[in-house]
Amino acid sequence: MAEVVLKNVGKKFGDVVAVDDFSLTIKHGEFMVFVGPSGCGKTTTLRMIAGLEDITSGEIFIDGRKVNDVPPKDRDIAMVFQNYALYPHMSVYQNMAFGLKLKKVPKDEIDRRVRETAEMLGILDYLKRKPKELSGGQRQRVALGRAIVRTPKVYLFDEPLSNLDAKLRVQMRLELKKLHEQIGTTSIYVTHDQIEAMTMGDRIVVMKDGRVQQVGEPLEIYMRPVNRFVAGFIGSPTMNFIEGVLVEKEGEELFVKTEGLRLPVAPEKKEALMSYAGKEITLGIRPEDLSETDTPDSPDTFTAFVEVVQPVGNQIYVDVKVGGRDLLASISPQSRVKSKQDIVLKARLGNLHYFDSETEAAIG
Amino acid sequence: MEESNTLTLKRFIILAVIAVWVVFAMAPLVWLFMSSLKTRLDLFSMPPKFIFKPTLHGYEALFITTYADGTRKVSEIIGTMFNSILIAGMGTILAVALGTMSGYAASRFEFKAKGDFMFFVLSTRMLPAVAVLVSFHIMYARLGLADTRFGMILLYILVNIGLATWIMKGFFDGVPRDLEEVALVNGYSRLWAFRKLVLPMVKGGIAATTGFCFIFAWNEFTFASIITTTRAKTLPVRISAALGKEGLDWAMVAAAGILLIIPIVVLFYLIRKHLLMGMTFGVLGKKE
Repeated sequence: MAEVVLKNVGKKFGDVVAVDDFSLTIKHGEFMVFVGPSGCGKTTTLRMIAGLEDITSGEIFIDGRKVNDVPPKDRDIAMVFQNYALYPHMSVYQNMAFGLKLKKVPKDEIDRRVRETAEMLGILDYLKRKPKELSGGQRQRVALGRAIVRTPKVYLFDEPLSNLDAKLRVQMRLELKKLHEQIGTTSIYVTHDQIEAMTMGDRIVVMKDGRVQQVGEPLEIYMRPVNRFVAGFIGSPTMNFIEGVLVEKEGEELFVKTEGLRLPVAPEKKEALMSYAGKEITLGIRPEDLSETDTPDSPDTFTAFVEVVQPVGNQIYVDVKVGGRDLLASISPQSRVKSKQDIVLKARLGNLHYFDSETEAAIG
Repeated sequence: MEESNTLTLKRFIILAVIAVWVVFAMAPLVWLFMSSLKTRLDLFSMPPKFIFKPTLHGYEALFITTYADGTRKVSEIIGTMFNSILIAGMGTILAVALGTMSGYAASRFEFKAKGDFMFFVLSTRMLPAVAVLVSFHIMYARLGLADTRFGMILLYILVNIGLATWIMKGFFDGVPRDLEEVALVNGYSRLWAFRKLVLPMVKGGIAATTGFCFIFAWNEFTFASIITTTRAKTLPVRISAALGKEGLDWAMVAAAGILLIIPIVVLFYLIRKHLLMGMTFGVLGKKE
């Protein structure tokens, strides 16, 4: 168990800035997820922690020790790679024992640990097989096992579930989380999948273009994204963004106005938004904050034209058009809504997000 | 039935093409070998004789020098052969060893002006030997490297290292980095990963590179003919010189030709398994 600290870490490849001024403290036993679109620098950051990439600027500490110039082998870490990277000529057992042999761990101790770990991962029956005789899921378990047997200070995961099919991914996600709860070792997990990030992370780091956008617990990021990028990246289906003007009426009422839409600002957000009165802003509405209603006169409602209806079982995704703009609403499965007709939607005002149209930063 | 017929026909055509090709490739060698066993009379008979009484006269003339007073001594060709084996062998081994290491560095590490560096390495192979012959001749004379085995080994390292670096870089590029990185984060050093993981995976590449480099060093004539005179003389130079002495003993020249071929045949026989792997790398070699 160890704390991992990054101080103003930066990485350049030639003139290209891959990671810029990355500062973060990962606590003992924490499961930290780096998430972002491809090319955002999350994997590079992980590789710098592993020591597989040099650090251009800043400092990295593992368990209080500065590791900038410490080779990977001396960092006491274990890493799981996306494509498993098992040794084809070694059996599952040898693949797992591989890291322990070097440490001069006695043979029977190696044997005990390999078997224990294999049992935990459900691959005890495959120990004698070669990687090519295993399925993708089994290979990934072996790769995990190879990391786990070593009991390092920190686990590093580089998109370990990306090569698995959707069903297996959900299952492994759960197993990994359980495993972490059981072992409790500090873990850093890189993924581009925001659902993986939300479900697995104790905390999440959202990255874009080499910069940290937001650090926080999954729900905190979901509820209070700091900017338009985070708001759009976290949450599925994606948040709707509507450009509009913030209009003030007689110093009392504040509302967002755009073609076909006029939504008042919730009282608790008024103060923060007051200074934007008369200016253009971006309104963010999550699909699940829209619902069908039959009281069209209420101020928090608007009428939309239904384009496509997509039932997914526990809810219905409705693609609608409002003033020439496409929106997505996620409504109750009881709805009898049909395409090519009007629908009255009600917005949960307290959950709406407002962004500065220029800086894209969240307001309030 | 139909299908198997076309299959047989296809097979037949392929075999026929290969057979023709083999005849084309082998005919000069067979001719050379036969000539080396013929007497002067048989050599020049018209039409050419395919059945004749073989004689080792050519080989005898090659290995044993008979002096005017009748004394017979082992010919200097033995020393020349030793030179050739030492120079081409050492030149190849060192060039491949150095090329393997620099190829690995070029494949795995980023450094300043890497592109320029790699082009420079390649450019050492671009100039025709004749273009730099004079400068080498002068340089070697001044440095006291002319007509030394050491000088020739250095020269062949220089000529081959660029090729070796480029070929080996290609092979290293084909080895997934992850495999090494797993070792690195599992407590192993890069040197260990290089030796125990990566090198075994590029065995085919090393074999192929060794083959190419050795053929070049073994056959090289231009530099050797200018830089060596006696002590460090190599076989190609010696054999071409033989063409001048006391008329032409074609059987001896043919025997020398056979002698020149043998080491290459032996080398390729030894590395044939790896060579096949090396040639098909990326097609078969990369699978898990």
